[in-house]
Amino acid sequence: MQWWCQGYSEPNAGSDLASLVTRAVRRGDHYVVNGSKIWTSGAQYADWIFCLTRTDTEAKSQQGIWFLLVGMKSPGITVRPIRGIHGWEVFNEVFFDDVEVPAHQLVGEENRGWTVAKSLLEFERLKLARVGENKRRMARAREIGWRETEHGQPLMQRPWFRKRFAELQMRLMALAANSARFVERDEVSRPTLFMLEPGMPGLELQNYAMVDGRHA
Amino acid sequence: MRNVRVCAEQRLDAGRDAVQAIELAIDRALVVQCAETTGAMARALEITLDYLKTRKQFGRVLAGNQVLQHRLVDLHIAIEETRALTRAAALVFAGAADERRRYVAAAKAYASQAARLLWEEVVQLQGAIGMTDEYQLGAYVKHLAVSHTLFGDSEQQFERMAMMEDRLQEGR
Repeated sequence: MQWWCQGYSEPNAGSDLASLVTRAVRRGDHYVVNGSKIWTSGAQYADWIFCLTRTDTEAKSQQGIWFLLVGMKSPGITVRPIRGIHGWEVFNEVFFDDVEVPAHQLVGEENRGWTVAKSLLEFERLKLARVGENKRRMARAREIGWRETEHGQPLMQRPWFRKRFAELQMRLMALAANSARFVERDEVSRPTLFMLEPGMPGLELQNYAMVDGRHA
Repeated sequence: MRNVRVCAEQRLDAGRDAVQAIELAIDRALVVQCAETTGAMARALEITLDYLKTRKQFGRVLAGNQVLQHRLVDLHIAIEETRALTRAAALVFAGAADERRRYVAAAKAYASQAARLLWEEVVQLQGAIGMTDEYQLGAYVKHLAVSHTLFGDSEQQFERMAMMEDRLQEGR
């Protein structure tokens, strides 16, 4: 099994991804990459990074972008983990210092990296709904609800908990049903996938998981 | 009714079976009603969108304001999730009865909340015109207000979902 990380965001290119500046210059049968990426999840464990780089600084922002596959063990790559508020190191900074990448590791055509990246992002949105993970959290909340008591009754029988549990379950079922529609289709379309991000019960379910941590 | 004589063959069913048959019929009605609510919401949003794209204030169309766009997107999501959950509920009728009850209750709860959000928001977004009787929006607003409560609002459906949890726990 191989782990991949995604080299899109840069210190000055977040939502405005097309303003990225990491350079790739062709030299013989390989490219030489210089620059840095940030918020790269799992970079410290990854074998590969798929990376957006810029070749032509004169071109319009969405053009002149190349999609490269870079081995994380390549000389010139430095990874620096960023510690999160939860105490975990998920995000990283990745620095490229004259990293040599064989020319055949270019995905798609030259200057067409933006198209490749966009289509990958569409699938990422589907994944972000985290239906499976949320179902597992829901099961944990159910377990806690029957185990913990208040005034001699399981939480699941206390009105406040009972209602919130049902409401969260409803929202999760809606999220799952909506996600399933996109999985069933062969193609994903961007405007519809955007809707999977907001309104997801993930955060509230995380709160339950934290409550569980307190009781554990 | 007082001492009304009814032929034995006019009895369709009795006892537990009869209650379950009635419950199944109501569940069918609920799914159909959720579908109808979805359609009414979609049309109400369509009318609202037309209005916001036409009406100009401060030199530009209302729909050009990001704060209104965000609200429209929230409504769109509410409609699409209702649609998805209604469809999921319609597809579980062949399976176990409790699974059907859970899905139908969730779909109706979601549709109720969405209907309320929709009718409140579309009136807000269109201002005073949304309150006039001759404007087509009013019919949808009233329809959505009724569908919010008809056959039990979200609170009642949540209790029904919770009862499924009780039953699941008893079975363990």
